[in-house]
Amino acid sequence: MFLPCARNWRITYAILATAEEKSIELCYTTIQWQIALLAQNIWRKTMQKYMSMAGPMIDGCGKLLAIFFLTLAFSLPLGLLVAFGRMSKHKIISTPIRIYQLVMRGTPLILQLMVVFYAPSFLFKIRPSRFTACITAFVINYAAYFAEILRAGIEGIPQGQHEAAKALGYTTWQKYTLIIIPQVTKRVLPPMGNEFMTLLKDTALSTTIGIAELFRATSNAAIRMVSVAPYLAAGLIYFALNSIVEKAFQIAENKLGYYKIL
Amino acid sequence: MVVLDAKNVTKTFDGAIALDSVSLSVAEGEAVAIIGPSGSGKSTLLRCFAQLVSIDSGEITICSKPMVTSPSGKAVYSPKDQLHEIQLMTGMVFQSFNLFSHFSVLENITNAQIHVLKRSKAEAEHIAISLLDKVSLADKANAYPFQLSGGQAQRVSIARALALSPKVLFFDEPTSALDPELSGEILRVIKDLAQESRTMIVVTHEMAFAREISDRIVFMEEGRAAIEGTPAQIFENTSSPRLRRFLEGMDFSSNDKS
Ligand SMILES: Nc1ncnc2c1ncn2[C@@H]1O[C@H](COP(=O)(O)OP(=O)(O)OP(=O)(O)O)[C@@H](O)[C@H]1O
Ligand SMILES: [Mg+2]
Repeated sequence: MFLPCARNWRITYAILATAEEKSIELCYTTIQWQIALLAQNIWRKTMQKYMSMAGPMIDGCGKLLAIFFLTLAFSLPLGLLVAFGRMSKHKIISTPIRIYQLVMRGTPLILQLMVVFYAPSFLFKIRPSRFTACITAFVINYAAYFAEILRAGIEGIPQGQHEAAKALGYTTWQKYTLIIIPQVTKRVLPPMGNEFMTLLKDTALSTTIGIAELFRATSNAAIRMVSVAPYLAAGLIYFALNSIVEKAFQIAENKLGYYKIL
Repeated sequence: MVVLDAKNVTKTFDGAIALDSVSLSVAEGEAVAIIGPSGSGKSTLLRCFAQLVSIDSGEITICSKPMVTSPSGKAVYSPKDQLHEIQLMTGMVFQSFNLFSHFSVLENITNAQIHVLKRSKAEAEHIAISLLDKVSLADKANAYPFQLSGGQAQRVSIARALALSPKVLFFDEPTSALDPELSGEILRVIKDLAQESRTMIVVTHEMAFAREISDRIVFMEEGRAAIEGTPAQIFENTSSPRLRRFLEGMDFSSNDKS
């Protein structure tokens, strides 16, 4: 059995040099064998290169999902709170909330990430961790958007539902938890689907404050490999993850399809 | 026993007067119809009784429990828990049904029983089914509101209100959103309730119906309870030209095909 090393080549050439018919045949098989080994070698090296890029990219996916789910976990309840604040009859509550939403929706998220990460160290000499800053910026940004969707959903529920609930003796808390919010959920699913998918892609912006999420890992890999292949892979990963999100929303819509809001 | 007692109830919307010192007393078992031209304050009055609208001044007492008093001319409402207690003694049936879209017919009738009155699910369902039977909708228990005709939806909403056993029921034009062919089935249900001596106040434009079911009729005009009397007194009244004019403009044909 030949091992793929220079000595074996030399032996091959030596055999070739004898130029006997039988040994030439032998030589052809040896050369074929050598080429196969070479190809295997290239394949293994390439795989190693790709695997070395896959590690950080898989970690990047983990970070991406962490940002995605943590942002949702905090910004949805906060968004609901903001929505109620925005609907308040008291201007003292609704006006500041409107201004907060205006700032969040009116400036780039990428800038907000930088402000949340760098401003505390300028102002108070505290340095938040990159990840904390990232989650904070995403939460306050997305809560502003979610609040508008939820507000539209809540205000779209006919006044009659509120009146019927009140007349039947439901407390305000019961009215919202049992009657209003369940119907709002159905109403807001399509616009929420939009926001969820945007959020998943927006996680890439956190690279600006040095979070090693998928996009950063991809850029690093692309530079190291001098190749666009990592970007292609990342594109496919974002697409696959958002396809799951889309499917989840489709399932949820079907689940709530048993009734129609009158 | 007086179930509902209202004195000098006054309500303005941004300065425009909707109720102008309305007084009304309803005894147990009595059915009172409220008639009057559009914008005369009929709905507003019922909504004040059902605590959907707060009054500016006056007094409302339900089953001897004061909901609102006006010791110094301005309305003062009772503490929250007493208001809630009073809320449970009143039931409201809306012109637009207002069934809960995400609940089945059965859930519409059981949900408040379970969460507001803390009845067991089994008991609530038992009550709901017998009420559905009463309004001839037992076969629709598992339907959702969007699958019901207007008449069916309104019967469910009546069952939903009845399930909480209110002391007094308010109907705000229960047939106005319905095709004439469908209003008959609602009027029949309400007539049955009147025959069972349920205490109720019914705002309606159906004069024949008002005449048939009510013990007393109140004619409202420009926010005032202008004329009050038995059906005979109201329909044979000749002294008020305004009431005459109103009644002459009304359709007296009965939609009740029973
Ligand atoms: N929420 C409100 N805000 C402002 N004005 C109102 C409100 N509700 C009622 N009004 C006014 O109060 C007056 C009485 O209205 P109400 O609905 O009680 O009349 P109604 O007798 O029930 O009329 P209809 O027969 O058309 O139902 C009307 O002038 C109406 O415009
Ligand atoms: Mg009305």
